[in-house]
Amino acid sequence: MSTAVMARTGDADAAVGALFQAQRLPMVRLARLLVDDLETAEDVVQDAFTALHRKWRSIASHDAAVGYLRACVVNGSRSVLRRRRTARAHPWPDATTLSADGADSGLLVAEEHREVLAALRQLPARQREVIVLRYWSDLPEAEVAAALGISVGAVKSSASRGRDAIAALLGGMS
Amino acid sequence: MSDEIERRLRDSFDAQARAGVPDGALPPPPRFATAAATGGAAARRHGRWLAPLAAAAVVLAVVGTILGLQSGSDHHNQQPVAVPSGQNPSSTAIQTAAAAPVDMRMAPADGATYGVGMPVVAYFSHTFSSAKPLAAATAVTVRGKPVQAAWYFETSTEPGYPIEGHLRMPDYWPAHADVHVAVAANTLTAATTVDFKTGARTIAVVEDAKHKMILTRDGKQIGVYPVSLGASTTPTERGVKVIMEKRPSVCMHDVAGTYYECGIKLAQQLTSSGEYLHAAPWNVQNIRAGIDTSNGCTNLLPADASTLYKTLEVGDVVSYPDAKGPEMKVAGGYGDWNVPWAVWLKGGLIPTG
Repeated sequence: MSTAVMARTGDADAAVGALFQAQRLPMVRLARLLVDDLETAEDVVQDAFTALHRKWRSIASHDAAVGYLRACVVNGSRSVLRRRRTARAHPWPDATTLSADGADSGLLVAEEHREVLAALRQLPARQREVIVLRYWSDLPEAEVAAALGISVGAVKSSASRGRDAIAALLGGMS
Repeated sequence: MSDEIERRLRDSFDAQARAGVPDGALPPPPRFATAAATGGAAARRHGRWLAPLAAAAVVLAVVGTILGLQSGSDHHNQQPVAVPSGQNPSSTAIQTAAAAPVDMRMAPADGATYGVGMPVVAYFSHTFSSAKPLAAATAVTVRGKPVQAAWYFETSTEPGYPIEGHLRMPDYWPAHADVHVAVAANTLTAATTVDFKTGARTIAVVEDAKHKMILTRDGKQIGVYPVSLGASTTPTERGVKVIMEKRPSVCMHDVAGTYYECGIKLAQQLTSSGEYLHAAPWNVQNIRAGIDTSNGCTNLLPADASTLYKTLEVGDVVSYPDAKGPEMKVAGGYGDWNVPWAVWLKGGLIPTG
């Protein structure tokens, strides 16, 4: 490897390393809402950073890097779900989210949130992604559209249908 | 209606994110460094973080530059050190550690107030042969006056982080005090500091034989509460524990995954294995009768659990001198106080002398 290439690789390592420190946690949380289990979420995010590292030279800015990561996470999550669609027949409880150690090992989420999350799981992939990016990542509609590669109009309609579906599911559950 | 749904979505996502992916969880080593170094997806899956390219990529919160350690172990000499789950990092400062084989980040959080049992903890990604330089560079003051404190090292249960170091005084921290920990730059680590406060000296002693918890604050008894501890097949661990985390409601499961139950209220975590103080409305009869029936947790009457949830804070001491289980380990939570001081001074897994 030539010195020039080494230097270039070093830049990418440092820059992507800094992004990894700052963005790993929010990205894992995003992935976790899309794929349901932590191990898969970590995997998806690692793959996203590997992809970013590979493409580093063509990434123009910090914002572009974060946007690229987010798109990788959404797409990676969707392909994971596609691969194991049949395995997800039973949505809850999600045993994979539980730590495997100890008597009475504790964790997690209050009941009122569990029904919301269970309702989220019933949505089609697109609506779920839009809802998560809008209300967890707090992205404006234009950025949701960019992350998903769809139009702003499609974001609006998916969000609205997703909200209605969740409202209906929650109404039916209580 | 729509606003209400949006609010519920935001709240639930927030709760799920925090519970499912805790703030303080140790980040895994980034795979991109390995992938770049080897180009191999196979190595990527389970491979440790290979060193050569990683140095420039290690960008971590705060401190330490552990140099020249473990020359024989070149395939994992380059991982971050961080704080335990459930704790906030002591600082959000980010530094590039291009020249540092290992960084160190310490808990507890700067400026926060804890019970007098709170240890200072650092995690290490690889072992080293002597902690003497770190020990010599560490100075602890309480209310501005120097005090004796020492590091002790043990195997960690955190994945990818084989060693953790705990720093404590011979006895609990003095109550109502400012604690300042300073590590000067040395041949192992860069300089760092941690500052925190202690609250009242609040200590709960749970006597299994009497099935009672006796609570004292600053030396005065303030309550006695009946308890039901672990059944004979799942006994509660013996020893001195420290409250690690408080949650209004948790789900629990056993090792085998044979049960899974949510809505366990007013839960205060005591061990990494999952022992809690919590309300057990289903077990009121056994709590009153003094019969040990739990999976290791300390079952409390709902009203008592509520009182204790308000009274106790993270870092407060809950001791089980005669519980029937094995003795709690240092790394099984905040098990520091189970090690006699004379033993502690030797440094445990890594000698400090």
